[in-house]
Amino acid sequence: MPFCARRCDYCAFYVYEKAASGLRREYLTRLESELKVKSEYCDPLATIYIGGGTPTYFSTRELREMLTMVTENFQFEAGYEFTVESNPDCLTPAKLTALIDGGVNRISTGIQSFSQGVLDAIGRPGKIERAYEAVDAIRASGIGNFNCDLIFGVPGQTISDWENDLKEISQLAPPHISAYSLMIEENTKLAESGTVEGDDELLSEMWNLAGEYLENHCGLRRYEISNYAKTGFECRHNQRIWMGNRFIGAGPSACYFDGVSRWTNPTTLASWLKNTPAVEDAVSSEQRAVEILITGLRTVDGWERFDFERVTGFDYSDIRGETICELTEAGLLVQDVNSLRLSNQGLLLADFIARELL
Amino acid sequence: MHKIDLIRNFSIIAHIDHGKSTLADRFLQHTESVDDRNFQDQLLDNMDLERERGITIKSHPVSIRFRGSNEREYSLNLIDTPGHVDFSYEVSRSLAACEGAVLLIDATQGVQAQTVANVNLAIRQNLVIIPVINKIDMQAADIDTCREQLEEILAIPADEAILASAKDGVGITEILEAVINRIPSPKRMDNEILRALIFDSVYDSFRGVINYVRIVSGGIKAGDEIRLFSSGVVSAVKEVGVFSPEMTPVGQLEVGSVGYVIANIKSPEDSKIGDTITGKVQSCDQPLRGFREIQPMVFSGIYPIDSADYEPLKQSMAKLRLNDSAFTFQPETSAALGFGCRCGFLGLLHMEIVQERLRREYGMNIIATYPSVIYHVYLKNGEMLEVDNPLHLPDASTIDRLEEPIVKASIISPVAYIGGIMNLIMDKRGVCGETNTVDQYHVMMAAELPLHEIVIDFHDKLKTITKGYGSMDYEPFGYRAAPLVKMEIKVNDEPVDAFTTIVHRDYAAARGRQLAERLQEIIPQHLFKIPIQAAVGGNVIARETVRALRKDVTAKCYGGDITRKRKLLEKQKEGKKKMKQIGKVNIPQDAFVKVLKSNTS
Repeated sequence: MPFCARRCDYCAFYVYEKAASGLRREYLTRLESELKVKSEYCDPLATIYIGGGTPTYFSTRELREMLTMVTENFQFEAGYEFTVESNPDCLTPAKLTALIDGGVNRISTGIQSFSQGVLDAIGRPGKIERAYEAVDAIRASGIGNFNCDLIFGVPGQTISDWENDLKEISQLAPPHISAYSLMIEENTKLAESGTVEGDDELLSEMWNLAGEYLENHCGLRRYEISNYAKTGFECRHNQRIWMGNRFIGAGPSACYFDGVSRWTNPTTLASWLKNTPAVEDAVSSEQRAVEILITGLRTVDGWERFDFERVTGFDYSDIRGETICELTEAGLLVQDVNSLRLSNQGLLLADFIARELL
Repeated sequence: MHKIDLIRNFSIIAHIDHGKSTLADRFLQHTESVDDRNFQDQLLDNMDLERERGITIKSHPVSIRFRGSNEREYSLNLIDTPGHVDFSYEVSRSLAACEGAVLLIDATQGVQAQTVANVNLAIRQNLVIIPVINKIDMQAADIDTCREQLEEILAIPADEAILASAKDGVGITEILEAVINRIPSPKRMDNEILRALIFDSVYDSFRGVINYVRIVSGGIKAGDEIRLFSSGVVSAVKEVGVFSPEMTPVGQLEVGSVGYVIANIKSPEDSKIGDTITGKVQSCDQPLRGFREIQPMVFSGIYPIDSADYEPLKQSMAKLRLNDSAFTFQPETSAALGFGCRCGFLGLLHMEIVQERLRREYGMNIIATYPSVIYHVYLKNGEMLEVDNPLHLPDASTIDRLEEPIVKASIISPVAYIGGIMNLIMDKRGVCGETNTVDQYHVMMAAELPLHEIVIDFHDKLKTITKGYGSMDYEPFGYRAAPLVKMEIKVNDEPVDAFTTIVHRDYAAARGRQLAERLQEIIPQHLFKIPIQAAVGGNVIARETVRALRKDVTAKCYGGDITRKRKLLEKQKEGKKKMKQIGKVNIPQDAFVKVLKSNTS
């Protein structure tokens, strides 16, 4: 869903600010036909994730319409997980009701920070009180499974600023937190203004603090580089993607994976509306296996040898045994007879490790 | 009237940015030598590198047909010349093929030091000079000062100057008329024996060596058997032609004309710039007077990133040398870098250009070492060694004294910057000579400086100090003894011989700190910390550390990110492969050049 009230300074997505209702209508019409096509031959869904953009930027009616498209065209597995992303600013009680009516059982909300300075620095205006109100509203609606996004490593942010954000979020006690180190990506307002990512020592200190604080004060365990959850509240949708499961996607820039190739829909809304076909990312089965090895290693538990072989058809020791041993010796990987995961140091150097494995 | 009387061979002498390429473009358009459809700016600068940097490196001939006001049709051969301080050698060989030169002066900048040197070169070769004051359309144009400079510095009568604006096409006809009226036609020779001067050559992988020639006597056509005078190689001519401006075959190149000759010469080494082409049967007794052979003054090692590329690198260098005879190379080895070549250059820009050409035109992945000059090492046993690689400096205990090359520099600058320039000269261990007034705004300063100091960054600093208005030329001025020592750089406790340099004892600590600081910025973070040390005779004089990399991870990687992310990682991995691994440390290719471009003194 590519619409937002305002594009954040760190956002590299093709989002459309304050889109006119006509354009939103065109989007919904085209989305419905794409979902219809993709629902044919589709197994019942284990997880559904609507992200953006800001899905809750839609009016209540548009939101209901979009959710109906999903529920009418697809079957869900028992115990499915259905997440919608939201912005505290536009998560009204009416929209919350619409979400619940539409089968949504998990909400992710972008709080980012409780510091006005940090929010200003990343171009996210809005009242901090809205974060508290939104979390209260989600709880009151009966949705107990929700996530709060936080951001750290923002220019000017000190370690004690970050600790304060962690303290504030622990008051709200969400069962899931995503805490992202600010990335400066190309084609963002931050990149254009010449902002650079923070010092790696400070960032790693902030990351370590997040792990300790959320575990000790909130009972959340880090289960992926940037994700923390109470046991049983991990985001199953993302877990399945990291572990190489197939998924479908719809909308501009949406990606999907058929088990062999990855596909990316046209990135701009205009080209997607014109039915421009998706672009295939075809690589050899071994390269695909290595890619899945890398995404799976982002999770703290990493891979069981047999799971990896079941998903990819390869034994990781056969295809990358030598590199795995080198990285294990360097203290970046932890290897057991039948499992492989990143060490604590390795989690912070996952890209380095990925380049070695590729 | 004989055909030769309608030929004019000339070049354009100009400082960098004074509008030479634009003027050449106007000549081509004005005489309809290219149709507008095929026109692109700076037509003669056909190396990408030249267009990018806005400078001409390779001289590059073109033939223009021009009907004069006397209704006669002339054949004008324009032999383009480069304008940068490192390339006076290129200028001299271009001039050898000409009878005259257009001297182009930027009305907003005035006469520059290098222009003086090149005009003197042209006058020594008896060329007729046509002064042109260009850019008169600009607001900052100061025509009177330019006229004053012409008379005062170059002793050229000011009333000979033509006023022009190449950009707006003003004065183009006057210049072309002056070319046919003031520049003499090529001299007629009594005998008909072929003598052609090779003033440039290029290598084409399909056609072999293409020689650019000026026919001094006789004529040459396809099928002729020719002999290259100095190498003695005999070969059959496959094609001759002119540059209009693309290479265009003609039936015959006649006496006085400028064009190209393609013969059956496959090996770049057989053809030498400055050599004479003559007939196989009817040969001349004497070669034409070649050019001043210039010796390279700056040396640096060039190594392949991948040691398997050593042979291809040597072949590429041989081809490149074909049309850049000032560039020299010979094999050497380095403990850090393996097999490579010791290369000689005219100056720092020349060095950078050669490196760039090896990378772009020949696709070589190379690394270049810290530049050096030729030192004279006098041993206690009375022997004298010439050392162009600091590594080969003998043990200090055996050395009686060391002498380094000195240059005499002349600098032209606006009066306001004299103080800054004097400080720069002294910082660079130089001695200021006399300062003369050029006109009411400009002075010409003389200085003696160690060549090594000039090689590093003198020219860049001069430009900074004078806000771009200062210019410089230099010539060798013998050798002088100095307390010089060898400074080594250790990266991760391993000496990197490629960074070894010879420095003045009193400047060693400062230079060592500067090098270590620059390397600290340039060497990327690794998983371990990397100490960088500068040492003289085993004593560490500077130390820096590259901190261990703590974090290298993308915060978000979800379903929509995986493809993009993998491609990015693959690209980064490719980038790492282009680095040179020394011990456990990866050093970027350009590190060895980047360390020179420091901002501190």
